[in-house]
Amino acid sequence: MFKKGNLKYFPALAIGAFLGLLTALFFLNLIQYLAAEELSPEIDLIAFFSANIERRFEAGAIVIILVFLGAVFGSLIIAYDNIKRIKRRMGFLEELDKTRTEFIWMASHQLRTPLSALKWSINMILAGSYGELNKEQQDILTETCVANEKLIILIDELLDVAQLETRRLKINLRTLSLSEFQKTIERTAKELKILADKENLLLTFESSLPLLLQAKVKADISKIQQVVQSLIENAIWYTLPKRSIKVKIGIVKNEVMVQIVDEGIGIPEKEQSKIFNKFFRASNALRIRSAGTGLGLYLCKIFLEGHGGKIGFVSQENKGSTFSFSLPLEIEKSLEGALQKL
Amino acid sequence: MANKVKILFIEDDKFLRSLLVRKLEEAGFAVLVAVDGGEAFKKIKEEKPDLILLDIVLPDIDGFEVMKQFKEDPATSSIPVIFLTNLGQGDEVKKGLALDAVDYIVKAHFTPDEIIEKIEKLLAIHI
Repeated sequence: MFKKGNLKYFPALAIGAFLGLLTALFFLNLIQYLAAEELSPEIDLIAFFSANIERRFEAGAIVIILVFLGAVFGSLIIAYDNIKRIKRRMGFLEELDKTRTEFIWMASHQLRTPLSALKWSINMILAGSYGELNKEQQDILTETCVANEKLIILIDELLDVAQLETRRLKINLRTLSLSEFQKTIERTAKELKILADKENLLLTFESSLPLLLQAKVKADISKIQQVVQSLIENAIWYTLPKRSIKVKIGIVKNEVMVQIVDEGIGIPEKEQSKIFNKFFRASNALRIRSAGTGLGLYLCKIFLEGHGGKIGFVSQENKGSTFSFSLPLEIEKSLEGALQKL
Repeated sequence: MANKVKILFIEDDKFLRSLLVRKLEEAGFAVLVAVDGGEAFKKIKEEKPDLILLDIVLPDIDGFEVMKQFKEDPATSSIPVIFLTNLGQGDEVKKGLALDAVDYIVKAHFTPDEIIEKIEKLLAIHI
């Protein structure tokens, strides 16, 4: 109630009230003068009104009303001034928001265009469109291609963050059957198995979902895919060769839960609280892999929160990490549907 | 050879254009190009391509507008369109698909081979 900004209402109120009082006194003087023209104008006001009780009430009422009106008027002027200032500020913020949005739009296009040109040309040279390549040339171009891909991903992530900050990031929730949801997770795991094989890691997928459960889940499948990909990639980057990574899906209470269990380097205990922070990278992760934006887990968290889901982890340095995320299931509705079918 | 599938590629970036034109020709398509909206209209009307690859950011009118206009003409309204662009911020994708585009490809996310694969799949359905 007594915010700093409200303090300036008090002087305004007082000045308004004082002006009201002055007006009242002037008005009363006038009445007194008109009512008793024969009397000398210097006559004492109090003496005049106290001579007549009814007039005393009238005078009191006039004083109170005018003081009140003065105070209200004073406050209104300040309120009007405040509104004007707030409006100006809002206009400025809107402008800023627009500039940021436009910047993202431009950045998205201008940065991606030369990267696309690189991607397309390298891929076409590798595919032999411009003649045969020897092994060394192929290797060097493959490396170039990987570096370029990293840049593309970095820009995608930066754009996601920028979008988040201009509140343009949208989660488009769609109702999916649990089996559709599982398929997406499984497919993403399968795609990343190629990468895991290359790093000499054993990536497996396990499902403990009851097959017959007719539950549904609300999800933006592209975002969930991004989350799963990000978590599995982390597991791959931060696990030493010959160890295993498990991707599991199951049900815990009335939520569907996905877990990525690795036997990797883990997260140092002191740094665990910061792991979802924007741009944060754990010290041991930086040592093992200098590339990386520190945006992956931050985005995972934001995406899941946008779904009304949760993400968490348990980790022990040099033993491994388990990242789990869960989304609420819609069981009752689908059961109703199933009942109707019977 | 006369009945090659005719693809109109609307793209203002010269380098990207030359790369994909080569790839499309390698894949056996007849390729037409347009560098802006105005040229695109002319070629759509005159050549009636079988498929249009449409960029969104063009020097004169944007790709959305190009699509809206030729979709209004019954002679050209049934030509399938794939947006091939680097704007991929969700809103644009939605807007593109709402205009009845058959696909929306973010250039930086696909290799020329993958683009050809997509085109071939689409053509199998639409032609």
